[in-house]
Amino acid sequence: MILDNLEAHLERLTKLSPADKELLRESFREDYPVVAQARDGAAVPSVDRKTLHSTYNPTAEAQKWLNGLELDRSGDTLYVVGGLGFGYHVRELLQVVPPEQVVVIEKDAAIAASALAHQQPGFFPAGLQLIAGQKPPVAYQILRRLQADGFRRFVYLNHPASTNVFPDYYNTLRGIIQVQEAASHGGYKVLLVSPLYGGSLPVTHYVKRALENLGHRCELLDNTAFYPGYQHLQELTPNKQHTAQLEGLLTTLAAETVTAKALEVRADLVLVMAQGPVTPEVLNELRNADIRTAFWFVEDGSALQYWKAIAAHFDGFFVIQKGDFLKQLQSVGCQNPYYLPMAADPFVHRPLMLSAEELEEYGSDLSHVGAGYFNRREFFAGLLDLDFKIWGSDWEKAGVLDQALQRDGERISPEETVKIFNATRINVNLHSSTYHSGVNPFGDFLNPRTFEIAACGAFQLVDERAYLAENFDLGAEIVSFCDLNEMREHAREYLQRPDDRAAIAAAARQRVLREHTYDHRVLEALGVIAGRYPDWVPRGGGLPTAEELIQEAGVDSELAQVMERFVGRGPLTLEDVASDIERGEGNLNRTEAMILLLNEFRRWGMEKGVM
Amino acid sequence: MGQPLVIALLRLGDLLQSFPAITDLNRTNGEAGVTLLAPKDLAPLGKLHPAVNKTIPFNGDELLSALLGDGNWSDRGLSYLDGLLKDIAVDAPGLVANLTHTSFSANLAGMVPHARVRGRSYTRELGSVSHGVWSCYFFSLLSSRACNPFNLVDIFRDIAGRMPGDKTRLRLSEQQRQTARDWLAPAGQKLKVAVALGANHPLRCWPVSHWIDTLKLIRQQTNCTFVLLGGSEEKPNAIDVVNNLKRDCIDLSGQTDLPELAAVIDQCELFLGHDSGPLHLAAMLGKTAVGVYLAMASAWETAAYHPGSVAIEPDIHCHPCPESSTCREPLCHRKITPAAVAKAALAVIQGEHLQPGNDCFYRISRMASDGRLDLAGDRRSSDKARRFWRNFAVPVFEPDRAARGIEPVFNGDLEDIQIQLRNFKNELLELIDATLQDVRSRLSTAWVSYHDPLSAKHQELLALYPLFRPLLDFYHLEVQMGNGKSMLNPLEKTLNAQETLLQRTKNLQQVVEDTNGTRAVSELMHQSLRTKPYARLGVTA
Repeated sequence: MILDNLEAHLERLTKLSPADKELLRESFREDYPVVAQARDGAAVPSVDRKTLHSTYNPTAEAQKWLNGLELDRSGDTLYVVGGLGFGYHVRELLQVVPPEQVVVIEKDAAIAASALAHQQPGFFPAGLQLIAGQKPPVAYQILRRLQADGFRRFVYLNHPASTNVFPDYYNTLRGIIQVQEAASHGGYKVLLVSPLYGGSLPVTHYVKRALENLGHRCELLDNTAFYPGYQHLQELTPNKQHTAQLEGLLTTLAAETVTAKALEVRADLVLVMAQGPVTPEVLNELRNADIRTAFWFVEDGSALQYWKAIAAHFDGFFVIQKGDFLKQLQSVGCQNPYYLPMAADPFVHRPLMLSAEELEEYGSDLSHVGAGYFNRREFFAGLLDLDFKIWGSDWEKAGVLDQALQRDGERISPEETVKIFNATRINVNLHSSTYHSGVNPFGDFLNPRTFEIAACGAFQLVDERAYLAENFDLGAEIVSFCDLNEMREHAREYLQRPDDRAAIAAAARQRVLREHTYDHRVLEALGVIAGRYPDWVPRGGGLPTAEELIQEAGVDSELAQVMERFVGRGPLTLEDVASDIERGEGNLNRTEAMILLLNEFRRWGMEKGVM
Repeated sequence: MGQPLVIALLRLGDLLQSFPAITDLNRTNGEAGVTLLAPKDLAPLGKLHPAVNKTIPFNGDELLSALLGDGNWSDRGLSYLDGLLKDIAVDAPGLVANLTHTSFSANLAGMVPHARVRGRSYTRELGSVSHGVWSCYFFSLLSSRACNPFNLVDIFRDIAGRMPGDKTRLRLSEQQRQTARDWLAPAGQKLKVAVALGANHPLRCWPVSHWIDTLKLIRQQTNCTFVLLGGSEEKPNAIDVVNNLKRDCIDLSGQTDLPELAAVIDQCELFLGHDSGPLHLAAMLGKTAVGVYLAMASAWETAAYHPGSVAIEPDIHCHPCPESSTCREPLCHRKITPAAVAKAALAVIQGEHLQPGNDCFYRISRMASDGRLDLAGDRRSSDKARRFWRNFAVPVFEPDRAARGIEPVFNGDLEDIQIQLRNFKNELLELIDATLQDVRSRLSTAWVSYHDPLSAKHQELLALYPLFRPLLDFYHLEVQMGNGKSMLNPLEKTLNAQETLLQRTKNLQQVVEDTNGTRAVSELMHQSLRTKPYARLGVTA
């Protein structure tokens, strides 16, 4: 019976795609959520003993919820309801708002499926727009596509019981909507702090591009300027203790520049990338200046321990591991560590058309780009009878691997790395380990390479990792191996099946574009911070105020006359001024028309990705 | 009023394809000359067009750099635009033809005081306005070009205002001609074939090894010199060609500015290349071009605007691919072979009839009686929709001009299309009725929002009636823009657009019926003539 209801609803909800319907069908479970009857006979779900509606009268509760909302009733607002539950509140909302102006987002597809199964057909109107089982950034992307239908803004309507069950999800979703609303008016000013050197340096640039893609303003604090000094210290004295102390002083100095720069640019957020110089003292200073701080620890928490000294001092601490590592972070005072995996930058990691010469130079049956870690040295010795190339640095004393090592182990730029990924028939992606032989049986997080190879539309064989299946569909989007024998077996098989390789690689690329770009990660990180601190709003650092513009242009100028109406409105973007002029009436004066013209050029530049 | 202004903030190929429109505009205005606004790096092209008296260079890089950073817009950005507008105002243009599809150019067109606009303009009072049906048509192509049968040159000409007269003859200085002659002197009296190896997208570029093989095949059959052209980025490929051909090659890649490039092509007898700026330059110089149309390049849209030119397209279903294509192993590069390109080039050189292609289509540019470019040569099954609209777009969208000669180029099943049209119209009527009912039901509510049932079914209708896509895309555009009726609310815009859509559908129905009727009569007559050969002369047996 209830399955009939589910099918009837799926038939009726015309806005659901076939994939959405399939997901809901697959997610339906008889035993989850637990469904009980309220006193008025209505079905009420609960998760972990938390009920999603009143157990007395869900409809009366929903009416009360609706009465507490402030709806602006304009036709260009899209209402986003965070949490479906069994939909009593949604039904009430749809009494006063047309369905095309409502989108309901439900974190848990099983709850959504259960709602459709337990409510009578017709409970939800045919035009209901439902997004279920998607991560917050992906759900937001779907919302943006709906916005293309002419909605000017989103208004988030919180379903408190759903947020009570999944606080991280719904707070992040609300946060994402908040930060992206701000993005259309100049966005947040983010000071992005790079490390002095190392693997997270290119990631810093990908993050910068993502911040700008999302409409925020990013200032890069490039600490590579300190790297020669750091190298100098390494060679200064053989006394390791002295070297460590001097390094500490250098880190302190570099960290102090963070405070100076953050105050100068009036940053809303200081985002420090792994190994970026920072000290608890600097973080306290920034907190006193009301600047939010975040750190993205794109490292293996068991291999590097410096997080222990700093994690507790950040407003957001993002990591690429879950489970025990999150508990360890909490034990050192980091209240809310957040799992944020690595990603790819489709601007850099993309399919390339390579010339015959490039294919010759970079191509091979198998290759690996990466540093010469212990486990790789051992594992790759078992591939030398194949057409196998090793690219990358730190392969000193490579021994038998010398025959496969390219360019004597020189460092490979990100641009060339992408060419190698593209030119290689099978990219061998073995996560590094300093103490396991071959495949690390306890490996969990995914390295950037996993996402980057996929984003290139290239084929890879990757060692088994605990988080692989939640990021890619095994077999259809990615192929894994547990040891050398299986890797060789897969390699032999897939070298003979170029069409299968191409199909798997293409599916992996689509998955990355859909869920695993740096735009997704940065959006999620900003959403997490805004979700935790709802009063976090941009202060307009670096943007001029009307008063400054009037003073600059001269009080008698036409620009001064135009800016008069913006006095007291604080920092202004070109978009702010132009939108206000667009909404006005009557003839434009020349300066107003020029501001609109300039803004159109800016929009064009954004669209073409040249700004 | 001063001379007209043409806003052509376009890429090289598109800018060259706007040249005949500039000629038309000049004729409209008593041949008093035209001002051209073009990207700074292409501004020298203005000197080649005899009607262009003045070229205003647009420095997009400077404006972009003014906008990067937080607060520079008020200072550098506005100053730059102030200077640009003053430059434009010097000639007080009374007519502006905007041939660019950006909102920026529309705003710019709307800012020229007291000027009539052709193309799109934006003002706060009227919003976005597409002046004339062809301007609207141009924008509707942004949704899909699958049905478009018109060459970009013709669309530009229709936007600017088509005028009869001789074709544009580009203006080359004696010095430029002499420089070209000096460069080409080693070729002596041999036939000179200009070859441009580049294009603006890697997917559009045929591998250089294919070009080498092609040129070798041509040289086996004819005594000629190849003149290699292109920017400095083409140099490595040009060197590759020279090294392989060993003799009869003049490498001018990276050496010519735009006017010199024109002068060199002008000295050659044939042009070979991709769908690219140099190919359109050759066409404007009246040179026959043989072009390799790969990836997103489509002969229907950008075949060389010179009769007898050949566009070679691959015989694969995915061609032309979308602009966003990231195809990694493009089949189109392999489907067109050196032998196929050499065959086309030799047919042009030797003045022979070009036999149908293997694995590729030869599309031959020809001028139709309506003055627009058409494609002769090989036909492909996907032409059906384009052929249909080649015949019926003008009667539907511009019925006043439809009387001028239409060629019976469509050989599709008109009876089947008549049935489809009837169903389509009925569906429209139902949706319009739903709109009106919805309006009545909402009159008592406070909601000003409005959801158009016809727009909601846009995708569904497209899937059911792909042939009528231009009607639906036009409709979508008119609902979105209101076309100069910004004072109308969304509902009024929708009702207006629905009325227009219905009228156009009726126009189409009428003209299809008429054509079908005419064809039936014509077929009967042909049959009758076959049986009685002398009947037409009135001779009795």
